[in-house]
Amino acid sequence: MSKRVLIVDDSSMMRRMIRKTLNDRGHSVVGEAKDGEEAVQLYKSLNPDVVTMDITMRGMDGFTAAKKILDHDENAQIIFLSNLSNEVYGEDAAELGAVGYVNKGKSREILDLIEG
Amino acid sequence: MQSDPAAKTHPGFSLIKRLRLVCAGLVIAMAISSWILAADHQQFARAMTVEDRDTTAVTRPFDGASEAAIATEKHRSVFQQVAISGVLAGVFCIVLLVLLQRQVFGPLNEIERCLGEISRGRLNVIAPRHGCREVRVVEDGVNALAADLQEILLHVWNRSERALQVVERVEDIYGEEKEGRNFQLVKENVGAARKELEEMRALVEAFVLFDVELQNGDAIAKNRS
Repeated sequence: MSKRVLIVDDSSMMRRMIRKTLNDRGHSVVGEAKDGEEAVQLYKSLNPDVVTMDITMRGMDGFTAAKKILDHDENAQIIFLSNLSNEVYGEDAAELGAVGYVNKGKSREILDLIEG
Repeated sequence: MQSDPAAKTHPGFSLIKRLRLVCAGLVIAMAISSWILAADHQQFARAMTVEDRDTTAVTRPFDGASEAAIATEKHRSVFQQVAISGVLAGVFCIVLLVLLQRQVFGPLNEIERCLGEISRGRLNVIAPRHGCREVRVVEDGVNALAADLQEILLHVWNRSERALQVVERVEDIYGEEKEGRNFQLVKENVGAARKELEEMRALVEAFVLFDVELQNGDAIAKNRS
């Protein structure tokens, strides 16, 4: 089933890559945000099914933005997608209530989490 | 005073300096014109006062004002109009200069500084988002380029880490089979691959990343470590 996704990443190159990965599998990207603050605003206005969230961003970081989104909607489906160490941050993401943590080098794994 | 790094590589006057000089020149020209006009008017008024004394008998029949007094009054009126125009033009130039400084020159200086830092491998700088819309578009572009470059570097870092782990596994396997037929050849090639990967990682380590530190093969967020 097709999902409506919000992509949050400060790199336009990464946003394009994630968008292509999702579109190729029939999912629609309803919005793109380049920092956490924009992500929170877009989540409230677009109400997407899934959010792919980077961690380090210029402006509000991904963990802070995810907390704000989960405060607003406890059922929000957030997938962290980052180049940072999976061992160090995967657990933090799970504690926060995220659906999963995917390394950007294996970004196709987000499809398993979205469709699973 | 902070030195201008671009001045060393790009000698000559920048557009910003030219505009500043033009505005400053306009203000000075207005001031000099006003001063000359004021001096001219005073001289004219003095001459008319002397003439007025000499021709006190010649007065207008109805209002009693002399020809010299009327001429002085007309001259004063012209002087006042020119002086007011000059002052307004001067104020306009100063307002324009302040506006350009805040909206264009200042932010452009910041962008120039950020680009200098990025070219020296410091991706942790952020171009502040202020100034007019056109300048903010450039600032966003600088931040986006820095973010993309960091993304590529982290990708290289993570991939080369995994490739190094593969090299280590191959080295371990062949370390146990020193008598193998192609042992020497494999050892040389694996050694060359390791060297290339280490060079690649040294390049990534030369950069200062935004909010990320590279530690023992892992990328760690500075704010959360």
